[in-house]
Amino acid sequence: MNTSLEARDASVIIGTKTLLNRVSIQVKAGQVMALLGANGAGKSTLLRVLAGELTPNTGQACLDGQNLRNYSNLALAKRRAVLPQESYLEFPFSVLEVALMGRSPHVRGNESTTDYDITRQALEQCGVLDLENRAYPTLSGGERQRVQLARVLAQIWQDRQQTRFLLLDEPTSSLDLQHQHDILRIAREFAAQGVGVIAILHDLNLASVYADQIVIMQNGIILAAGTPKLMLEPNLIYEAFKLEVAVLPHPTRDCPLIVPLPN
Amino acid sequence: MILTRQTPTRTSRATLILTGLLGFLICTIIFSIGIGAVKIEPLQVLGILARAIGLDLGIAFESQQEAVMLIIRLPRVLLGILVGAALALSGAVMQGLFRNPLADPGLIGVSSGAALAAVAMIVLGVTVFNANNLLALPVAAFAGGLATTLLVYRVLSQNGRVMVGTMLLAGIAIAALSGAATGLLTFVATDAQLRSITFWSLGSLGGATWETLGVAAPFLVLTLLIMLRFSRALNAFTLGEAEAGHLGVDVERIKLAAIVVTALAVGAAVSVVGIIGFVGLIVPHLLRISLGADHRFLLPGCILLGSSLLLCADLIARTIVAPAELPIGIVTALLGAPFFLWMLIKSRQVGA
Amino acid sequence: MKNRVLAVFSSLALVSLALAQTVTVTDAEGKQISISDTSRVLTLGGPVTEIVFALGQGEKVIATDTSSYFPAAVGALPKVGYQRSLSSEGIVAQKPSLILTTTEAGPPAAIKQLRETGITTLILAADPSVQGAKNKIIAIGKVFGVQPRAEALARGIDLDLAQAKAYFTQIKKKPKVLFVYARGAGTLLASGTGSAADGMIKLAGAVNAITGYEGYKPLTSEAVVAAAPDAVLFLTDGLKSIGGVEGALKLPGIALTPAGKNKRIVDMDDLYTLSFGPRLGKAVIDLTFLLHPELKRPSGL
Repeated sequence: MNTSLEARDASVIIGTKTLLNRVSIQVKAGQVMALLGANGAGKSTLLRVLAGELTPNTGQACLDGQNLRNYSNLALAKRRAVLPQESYLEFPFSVLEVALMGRSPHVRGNESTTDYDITRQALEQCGVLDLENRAYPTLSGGERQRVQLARVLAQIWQDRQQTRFLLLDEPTSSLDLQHQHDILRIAREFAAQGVGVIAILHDLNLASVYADQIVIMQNGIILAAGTPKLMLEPNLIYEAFKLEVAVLPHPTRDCPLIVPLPN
Repeated sequence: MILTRQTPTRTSRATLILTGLLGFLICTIIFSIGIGAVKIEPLQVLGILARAIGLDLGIAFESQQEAVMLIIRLPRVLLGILVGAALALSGAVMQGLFRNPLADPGLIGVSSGAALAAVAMIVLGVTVFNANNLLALPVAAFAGGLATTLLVYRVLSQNGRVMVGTMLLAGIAIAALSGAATGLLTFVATDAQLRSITFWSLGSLGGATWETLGVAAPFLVLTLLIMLRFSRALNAFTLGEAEAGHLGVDVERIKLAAIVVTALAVGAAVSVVGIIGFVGLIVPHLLRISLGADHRFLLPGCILLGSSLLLCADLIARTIVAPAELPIGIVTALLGAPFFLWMLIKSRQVGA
Repeated sequence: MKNRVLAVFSSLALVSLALAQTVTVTDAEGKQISISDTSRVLTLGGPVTEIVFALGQGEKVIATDTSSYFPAAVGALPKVGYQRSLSSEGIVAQKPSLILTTTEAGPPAAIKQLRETGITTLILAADPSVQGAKNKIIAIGKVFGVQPRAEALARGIDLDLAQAKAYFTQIKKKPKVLFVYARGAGTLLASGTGSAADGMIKLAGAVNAITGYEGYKPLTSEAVVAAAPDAVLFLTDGLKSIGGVEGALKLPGIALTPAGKNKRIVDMDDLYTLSFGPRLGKAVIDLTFLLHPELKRPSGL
């Protein structure tokens, strides 16, 4: 069976603006794909198409080869989770309650002990289990982001029959250095269990360290796609970001290290 | 790694609070039936009720007490329960839907539209004197409220999607517009009409009869039951619309349903008792402090606390200047507004 | 023993007296209302209260509404709110045997509740006209079994009106009068035709300066100038609310009218002027002299 999440020739046009122009990509089980590109390149639009939140005007988004439109919201929710860029939550939910919402696609009636177990394990994995009784609005930005990650992890915590997908929209933007790496490490661990991960990233070095595949976007099209070693080279980066960089070998890992050279 | 804790503490605490609220409601009902310009002892309440279903408990009461309780107070208390519950629950649903703890059921234009329709009817010459026309005003108000909400909805939905943020702003604009139209009508109103307008636009349960109860109750009960079913979806909505969609919620369907049901509930309430402010705003707030934000506890809590608080406000309204009576909207605003300000200040301190 | 027989007899006599007193009066809707007990009467609305007192039945009134402030004896009675925003329970608590009111009383729901509690409620047509006033007086006279006194009271109104007419017909030119209903300077309404004020102006031998519309409309300075009234009539409370005659002369447009130039700003009490009650005739005489300054009022009238 073709277990993948993909966009096929997908275009999104809003008004007279083409946000996405005949884009095709495919995320496979167990893979971590990083979406790179300058602001307005169409990364978020592509993520929304893959999430099933936005139906492309032409082309389609498919899960396991089936158009996303043939899935119910609930069926999709059991297969893929989306971590939002930032989450404003004004209401005094406890941390546990927020994370527990991730289980809601699987629950009819009240949450079972299993749901609580999974949620607490997810909180543990994200390093925020000790906050479980805190009110969410009192958390710091970084803590909130990790609780949100626990929520989306809980949503697709286990399913042995079908491949799950994790979509991350700039997951590291509000985090300090250590937590940026924590989140991507957790995503990697999920990928190791067979989850397909696709993440919009701004930091080229994070993409270099954690991604198997890099997709560089520009003006609604895919400029280039391939392994970090192929993608992260000065000409391509200059083309996408209008930034001079030097690419060095990473001191401890087998991946490129990008050093910006501002003029 | 032992992570299991059998019963989550929050659930049992919430159950305890809800039980307490139920007790509070029962007490308020007993007091509401007993206290007023004509006093009825709790035992006499029982005696009159028993007599009404054909039992004689041998409890002495005057026929005047019986008349007051069965004809005036009982429908009034029942209507108070339903209206209080509907306003508070609609408030909670709107706050969840708009992801804004300061949202009010009036935001979707239903109360201002209903007010405008009723005032127009009073001023533009439809005399509602005799008892046969007793329902003309409520029906007009109900229609006005629904029409306004549908208008707001139509203007702001594109391709079947509702822009929730814009709807909030539109609600404010619509409220201002109908406020101005109401003001205009007030300006040309005679003293007599002005009295009816004030009486109505500040709200009163004084018009409760078995007939009005019979007309409003089906709407109110039905919408209450439907709104209770929104709890899980509303929890997801508080994370954001897109996030709710990712969690499997049918976002557009729930939004439409919530707006329509709230408009029906508030429209029905406003049409029989006029505009009663602050209940929908404050009750959910109060409950979030004690119960937390989970709508599965919050929504039933709103039914219990909303109805008890409205009964308390009505008790004040009809006893404080007895034998005359204050509009209940004045009572809820006098108590609610300072409390609301205090809550805002407090929440800012927490936020800082 | 003899005493007891007497007591039984006298109580029987009382019962028969009460039965004899049962009267039937037609209400505003044409329904026949049977009234047997007038021992505890609750009156709602200034004119009705005045009529009951004018017929000498004031001691049977146990409570009224806030629009009833004449005669002074009413002041001591409990008030159940304003006649247009009544609360039924407050009224029931007064334990009235009869509620006397007009079609002005409301809200309708409260009236409906009162009827349902079984209290006899007589609603007469409000009808602010001479005939309406007399009808109310006759009907209330019937309620209390004092028809001759009621008829005399009604006749008195006709006599007063005739007297007023005898005076104002001496003046050839009918003054144009603008009636302004004021609730503070922000809310000024001018009476068109068909209102109680319009009726009073006509009865006092003057003409309404505004004939273009029915009822009340907000007063604009241009309309005031165009109407060119010879006199402006206020209710006493209304005139006070805008700062008396001085304030009235400062209202936009008024100064440019004949009334403004001649300082013909007059006022009369609210209930007295507009209620069309038992003092209607006297009010018309007063108004006639107010609006026709040329007439000299003889002492004793």
